[in-house]
Amino acid sequence: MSRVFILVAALTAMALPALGQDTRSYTAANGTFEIPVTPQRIVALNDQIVALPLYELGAPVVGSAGRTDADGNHFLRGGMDTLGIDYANTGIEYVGGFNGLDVEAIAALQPDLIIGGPYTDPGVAEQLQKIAPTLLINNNELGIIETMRAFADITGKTGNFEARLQRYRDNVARLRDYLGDPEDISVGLTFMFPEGAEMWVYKHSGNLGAIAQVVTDLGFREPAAITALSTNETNYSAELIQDLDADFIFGFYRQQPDATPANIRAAYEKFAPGWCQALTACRNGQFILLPGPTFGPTMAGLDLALELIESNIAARPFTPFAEAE
Amino acid sequence: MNQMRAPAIVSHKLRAWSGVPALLLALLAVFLLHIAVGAKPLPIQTVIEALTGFDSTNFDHVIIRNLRLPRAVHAIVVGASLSLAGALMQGVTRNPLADPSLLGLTSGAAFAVMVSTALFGAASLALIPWIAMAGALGAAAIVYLIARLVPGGATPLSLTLAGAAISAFLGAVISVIHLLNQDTFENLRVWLTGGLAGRDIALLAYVGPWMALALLAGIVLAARVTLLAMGDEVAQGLGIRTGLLKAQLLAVVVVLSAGSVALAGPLGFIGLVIPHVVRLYVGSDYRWIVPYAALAGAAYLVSVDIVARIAIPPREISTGIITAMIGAPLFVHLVRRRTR
Amino acid sequence: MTAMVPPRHLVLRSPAQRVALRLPLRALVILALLTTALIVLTVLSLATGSYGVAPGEVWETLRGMTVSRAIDNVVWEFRFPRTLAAALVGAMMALSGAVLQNATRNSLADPSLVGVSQGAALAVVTMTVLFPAFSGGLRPWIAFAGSILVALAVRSLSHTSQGGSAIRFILMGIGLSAFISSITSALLTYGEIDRAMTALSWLAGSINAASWTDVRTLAGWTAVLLPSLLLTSRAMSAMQFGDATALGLGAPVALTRNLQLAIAVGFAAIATSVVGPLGFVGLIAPHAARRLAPAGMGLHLLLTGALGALLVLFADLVGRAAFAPVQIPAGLITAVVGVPVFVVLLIRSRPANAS
Repeated sequence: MSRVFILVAALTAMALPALGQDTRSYTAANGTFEIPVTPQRIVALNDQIVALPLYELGAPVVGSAGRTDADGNHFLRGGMDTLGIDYANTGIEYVGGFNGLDVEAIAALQPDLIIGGPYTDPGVAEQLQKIAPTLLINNNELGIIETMRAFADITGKTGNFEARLQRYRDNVARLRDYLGDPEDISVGLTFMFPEGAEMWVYKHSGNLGAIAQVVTDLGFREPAAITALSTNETNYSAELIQDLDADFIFGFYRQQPDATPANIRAAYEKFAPGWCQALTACRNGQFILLPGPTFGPTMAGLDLALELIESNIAARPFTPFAEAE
Repeated sequence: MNQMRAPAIVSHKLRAWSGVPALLLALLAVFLLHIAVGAKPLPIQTVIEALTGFDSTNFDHVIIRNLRLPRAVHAIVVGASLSLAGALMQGVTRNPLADPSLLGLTSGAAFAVMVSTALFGAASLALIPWIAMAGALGAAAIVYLIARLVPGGATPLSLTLAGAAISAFLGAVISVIHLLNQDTFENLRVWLTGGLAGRDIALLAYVGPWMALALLAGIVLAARVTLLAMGDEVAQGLGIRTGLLKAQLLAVVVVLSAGSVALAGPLGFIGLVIPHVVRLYVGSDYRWIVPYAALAGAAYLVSVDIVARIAIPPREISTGIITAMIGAPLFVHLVRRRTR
Repeated sequence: MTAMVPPRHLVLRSPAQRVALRLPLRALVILALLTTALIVLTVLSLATGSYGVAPGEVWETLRGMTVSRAIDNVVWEFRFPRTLAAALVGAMMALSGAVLQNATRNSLADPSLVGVSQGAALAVVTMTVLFPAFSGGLRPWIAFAGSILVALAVRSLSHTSQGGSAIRFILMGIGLSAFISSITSALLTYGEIDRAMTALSWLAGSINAASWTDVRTLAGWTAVLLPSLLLTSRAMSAMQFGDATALGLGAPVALTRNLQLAIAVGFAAIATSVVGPLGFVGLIAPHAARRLAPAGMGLHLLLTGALGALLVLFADLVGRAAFAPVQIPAGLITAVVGVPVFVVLLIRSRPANAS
């Protein structure tokens, strides 16, 4: 009797995904598709931008594109740093790189929903439509929060998401109170590659993930030279590094394996010798290197970025930078 | 007939000579301009002070002495080396498509740098020039070995084919590493376009003397390249040991290209195009092509590096990209004017 | 002509002896071997992939039975078009290279010489990096337009009232290609990294998104271009000995050269528009064919095409299956596999003929 019951239960459980496939239409950047109301097997075509936020929301991710390190091991970029997950401890299958997807490996996972983005090869996306509805979500246009909201909507996890977002909003409001007038504090965002041949500068609205989102939400001021830029992000001449002076300047490390704090500092020095003397922010100890992997669009990333900014700006005295007129 | 020809040769020589001081002057002028202008406008007074009484706490002085000056010197050395190496390659292989990248030199150097960066990370950054040199030498050796094994020996055709094959092979492996390992692509994508930003002047002290020696050797050997360019039989008929000469030229080209890659990354275009431009003016005599190519290459790279630094402030463009972007239309124009 | 043909021939005569064909036996045998290898590799490619399908199931699917919807998809929609596209693209690029090497009489000529690869690359990279608004269906058209425009520019810039020389054509190709590549590399270097990476995988020549539409495009154009090419092959062989000789032999040199360039550009532009600038095949396949078996121009072209098809088909199979699920673009494997093969051929061959 009990054996039969287990058998029936098992059969029902197996059949459920197929039976329970109520669908609804959803409009993504690449068109309108019939998608399952509660998707059971999702394949993400990007690790950092899609798989991590989906996993955080509690959505059933069965496969994801990923990266390969120098030893040939696959990993989910940012996964270990933000959520503590990787291929090894989640049951997520590797399906190729985001720009080199193995369509057959994706087919073998029998997904009922596939999610990619503007980086997804449009030809491959067309092929994947034959396996399961393939949605392309333009995270660059939507920004971090709206991207996460779209993922929550698609996977039916809107409740989880809005609750966590509200907590983040409350934390931002509290920090703004602590800071008094964050509009009076200027913050510059820079990015240096370990070999020191180029430095990038980002607007607060630039594509620098969670940190940029937090800086925007807190309402910090942008240095005038950065506001004057015509694009959201650009490489910047070493000769003009003094234009970037501000109350706080942030740089990032840990984005690549060899990007240790010491290497990145050395790279700034190589790029512009004497830079630290030339910038009042650096002279006063207000040039701060932050760990990079919090860039991805996850709530964990936003919370972490907020705490990093809070501990580096609100919890200490600092010397304001007097911008020369 | 002889009487008719003699004055023509003399006047041709005179004209040929007169170009050298003119080019030297032009080089000096762009060199000074390179130091005087940049993304940050500095008064000429500051420029002179930085050169005469350097104050390391003054960032404006640092800009002149530590940012602009080393770049200008790098540009001269690299521009002259690549252009001269290209001229010699075209002469030896008798192929107008020949340039330092052809024998696998540039891709060998780039490959070695890529692999060591991927495997050993930042620890190897300081070693890049040596790794580049080893890579260029290794690739050249393999190309030469293959060409020697081909029935008929190391002819220009077998050398170019082997070189093109090895270049394609190394290029493909570089791309595979890029595609698989995004970190190395992010780290090296600027380096791979060839550039002069953030270069270490200490490096030049190591590599520079070797390159200077190779430049001199190239100029000395130039006269015999003219004969070689007429074909091996002609050259041998005139008493030239072609095998030895080719080996010497190869050594010169390897040192110049590997040194250049070490200093500026795989900078293309100059080695291919400047010799053609020079040839449009001085004809096919390598005694003139070689020194002119060196001077013109140096002046050209210094000039485009000025543009790379000031064209769209506050941004900088990679010198390697701007080199071709400016040079190619000029080149097309010249070819249209000068050939029929 | 006789100097190039080895002693053993298959001579076919029509009954009245009005037409006679002398075919070099060795080349015919090798062509047959290459064709067999192509068929074997096609079968292997249909049966190999990350999705486990038993050979029996593949066979049933091919006979039109549905084992499962997923297997139908994998075999019919993924593997089959991809396999055919790889072979076609390989043949087209190889033929383009052979024609260009002949027309410019430069042994290093390949489709990148006439700006085809660079034009397509610039067009697609611009689209991917600056306007990534999912215009997937447009990509082949944009690539094709890019190739043709640049090829036309090279041709018209190198044309003069006197007709234009081979060296001028090569120099124009160098100049224009360098200019276009510099813009492409600016976009790749300063574009957003993920978009640059996407563009990079297209630039490496990858066949992973080939569909039946692509196969129809490739096959249709091959059906038009290949016969036209074979028709001009007689004049082509005359041109191997230089323009003067060819004129003496009564070949319409200028017309033939223009026609050939058009065919070469056509082959390369169509192939590039579908899979990206697949380098190297065009450069080595003609050399490899010549070293495998000397043959008259027509047969040489067929050998070249078959070699190109074989190389790219093999490369694509290795690239998608050897390290799966890691996918390596066919263009890269082509070079990695093709170079050692080419070097062996180079070393073992008799000295190169004519050129």
